[in-house]
Order: sequence, then structure tokens, then C-alpha cells
Amino acid sequence: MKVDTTDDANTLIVERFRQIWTPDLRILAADGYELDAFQGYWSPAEFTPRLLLGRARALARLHDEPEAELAYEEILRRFPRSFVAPEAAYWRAVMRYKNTHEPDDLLGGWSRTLHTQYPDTQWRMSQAWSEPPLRW
Amino acid sequence: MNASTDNTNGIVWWPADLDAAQSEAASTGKLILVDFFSPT
Repeated sequence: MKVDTTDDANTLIVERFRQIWTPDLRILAADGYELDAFQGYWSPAEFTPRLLLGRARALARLHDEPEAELAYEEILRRFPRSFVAPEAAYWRAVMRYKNTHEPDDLLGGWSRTLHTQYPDTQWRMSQAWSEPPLRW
Repeated sequence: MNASTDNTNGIVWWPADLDAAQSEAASTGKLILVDFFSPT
């Protein structure tokens, strides 16, 4: 739904979500709980993958790991060079591991994507706790 | 309540009524996307 933040009729919903700046998009569960949020302008080429990431993150937080894995996979298949692709690669491996409980699906999943395709990203760092400090 | 569909991406936009959106989401299993915007 669209919320015009300059309309006094929307004051309550703006205050409820501590909304301070536009553009500002939130993804909510049916009970109104906020599952994801992103602010600022996203170019048309980056907006769709970011929206898909929001859906994937929401599914993951709702513990629908099979659908979340597919959602992250869709981002990597359709938008492998997008800004959000490294995050999708990180979480796809996590969702895969949660579905199979096979350690290689986690560690190997990270290795096959983050180490090779997205080495200079925050998400490469996020799975590097057992390695020497990365050199940039 | 009337909804409108954005033909560019298939998103169904509802007026700013959170109760209606939650009711729709509960009955369909869909997520709610909230777009806070300022008219330009």
C-alpha cells in the first residue's frame, strides 16, 4: 500500500513505523510485524532484485526456508550482478543448510559463490570468521 | 476498498489502510509492501 507521508490522515501509521525519510519501503507480515525495510532511491535495474531480496528475507524470517531458498536463488539467477546478489548468495547457502543439515551446503555453498563471484563484499567477510583477516 | 494494479510490475497497491491490508494478507497468505512516499 502507498502512504503519502505529507497527508495528515497518515500521521498514525507514519508514527507507528517510526518513518522519517522517503523513499522508504517496508515488508510486513499479515500481523503487521515488519520483516524488512529499505530506504533511498533504487534505480529501476536494482529495484526489482532489492524487492525480491525483501521477499526472500521475509520468507526466511517466517521460517519458510524452502521458499526462501528458492527466492534467493531467483535473485542469483536473474540478477547475478546486482548490488544485493552477494547477500542472496550468503543466505541461499544458509537456507540450503537449514533445509538439508549438510555442512557442505553451507560452507561449500559460500565457497562456490562468495569466494569466487563476490570476493570483495561484506558478505564474503560475514562468513570468514575462521580465516585470517582478509586483505583488501 | 478499491485496489489498483501497477502494470509495470504487477504489484497491487491499496490505499493507506493497514487494517484492510492485514486482512487481505491474512486471507491470501501474501506479504504486505508499504511504500512511504512524498509527492514531488
